[in-house]
Amino acid sequence: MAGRSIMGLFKEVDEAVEAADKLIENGMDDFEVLTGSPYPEGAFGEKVANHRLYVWPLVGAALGFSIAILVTAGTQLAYPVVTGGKPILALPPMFIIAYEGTMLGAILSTIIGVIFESRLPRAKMGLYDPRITEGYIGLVVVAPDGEEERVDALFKAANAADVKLEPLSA
Amino acid sequence: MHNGGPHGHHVDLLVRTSAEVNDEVLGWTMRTSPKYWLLVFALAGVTVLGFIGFIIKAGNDGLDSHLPWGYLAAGLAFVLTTSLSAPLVAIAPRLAKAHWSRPISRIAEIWSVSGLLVLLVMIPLLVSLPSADDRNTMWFYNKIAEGWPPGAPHLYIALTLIFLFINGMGLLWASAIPDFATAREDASGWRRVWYARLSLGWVGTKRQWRALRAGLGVLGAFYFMFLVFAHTVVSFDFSQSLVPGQRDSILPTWQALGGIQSALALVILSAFVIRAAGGFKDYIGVNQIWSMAKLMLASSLLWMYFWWSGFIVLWYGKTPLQQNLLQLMWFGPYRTIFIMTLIMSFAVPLLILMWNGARKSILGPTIVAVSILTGAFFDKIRIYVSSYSIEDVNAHTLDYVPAGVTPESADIMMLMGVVSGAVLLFALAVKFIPVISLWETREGMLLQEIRPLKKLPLKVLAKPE
Repeated sequence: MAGRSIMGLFKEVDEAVEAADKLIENGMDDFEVLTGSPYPEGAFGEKVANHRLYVWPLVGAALGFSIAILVTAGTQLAYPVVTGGKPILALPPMFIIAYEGTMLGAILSTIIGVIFESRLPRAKMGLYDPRITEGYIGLVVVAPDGEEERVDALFKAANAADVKLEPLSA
Repeated sequence: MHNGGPHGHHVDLLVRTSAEVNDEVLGWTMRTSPKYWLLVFALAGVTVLGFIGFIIKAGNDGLDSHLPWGYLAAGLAFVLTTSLSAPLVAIAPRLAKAHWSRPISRIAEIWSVSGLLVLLVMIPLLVSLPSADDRNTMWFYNKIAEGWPPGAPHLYIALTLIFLFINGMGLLWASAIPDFATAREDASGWRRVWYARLSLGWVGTKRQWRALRAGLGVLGAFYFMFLVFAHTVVSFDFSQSLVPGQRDSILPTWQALGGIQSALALVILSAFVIRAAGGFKDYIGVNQIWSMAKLMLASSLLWMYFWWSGFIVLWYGKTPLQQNLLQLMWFGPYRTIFIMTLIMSFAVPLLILMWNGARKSILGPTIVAVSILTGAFFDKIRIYVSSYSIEDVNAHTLDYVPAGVTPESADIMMLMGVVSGAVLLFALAVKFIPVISLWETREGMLLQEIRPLKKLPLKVLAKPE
């Protein structure tokens, strides 16, 4: 859907909730909420944001485990020394290194996952206001072409402290 | 807001606007006084003294043998058991969704910066650590002789400590991203540039908050798992495997538990100092100290139980090896240090924290925290210096008790330098990273309020998940 982003900035939570209700009533339920502290999911009637962060540590752990097994098993197979008729692959000593490898993979991938799933880094801040860190709440919605004034009026009717429109790209 | 009530009923609630929280915490973070710089220079001076001590020691004794380096190993173990364990005090309550820990969670996490010092101290210790070839280690007897596991134990100790540091810094940074975003709006000059870089353009969308919450949970759980592993590796490779015949499966568990006890003590002590120095009495109240004091009492009782469980096997066994181990570790040259450890790590916490009045105060737990940290310091000296005093680490049994190793002036300088270096890194970090988590405090204000039940004021906590 073509359109421009518009942000309403609200001092009170109740005002932001009222504005969110009006957006939903007007068929614009795909809006973003910007807050300075994490509000519980659904507090503004917004769509619940999905993420796949839990996949990252699993994939990283699997990779780390595989590399650890490759190193440990590979070394023993490459330099086979038969001791007292025991199998060449000694599993118990491999567990420690497999644990370390698994953890290393999981930790690194989780850090990368937090960045990716947060869609960071952002080269441009987009619509934002420093007052959000002081407790103000920002509602950002993409207004369909020609609907900008209606959304602006809707935000102002809910007592928005400020309304910002995305600048037109050159 | 404090509300008194009958029977010592006590309710704390911070009454501030978000803007006031930002102003107070960031104001203190970005402001440095002459007293602060005096402290930094003093700490830096002692740290440099420690480095000079290291140079003297390395010049006199070299790095070919492990024997001269017991006190440095004790220093590393002390920082691991205190500073690097401190983030647990943020992680565990966060996973349990406890509200009380919000004002102290950042203090706990910031201590992970001292991992940098551990990495530096680790280098000479790894160089002087004897090969694991032909002796009992957790890397399996005689497998090393076959060239396997490759690089053991040095490579895996290094990887463990490096990744524990990365995990800790990742946790600290992730938890501080929203606060860096707040600070970038208030700061100017180089601070603004760095806050903007570190916040990566955070704006606080629902998706970002969700990913942050999940990420903190996962990274916290990993830190816990990895820290326990680090305690195991360090206590095995820098202590137990240097003592021929010592097979104590409780030692690493006991060391990990001691880490939890010391972590609580360190966070209580640093919260006490930050509360006084920063004027954060409304943020860090009795509730925070009291909650940690209860855990500290429990961990002190467990500390004694775990020590007893390890000790009793040797005491009843009474084989010549076990008698030598008892003499080496407890009743021989380090007996005084051992008794001091028992008093400071168990008796003092028990005798003070068993009283409600002392436990539910600011000063009582802080005094106990100092005692526990001192006890932990002596404990590391006893364990690591005695282990490092064994010359023939490849022997099959400990058939003699070496004489006690009294510290040389270089040893004392190094120990002071290590402790001072850890505190210096913390002191520098708190003037850049907001020492009280802004977003967690703001969220706490959102989810808590005081409501009366008839004549009794009660704190009502919201737990949305």
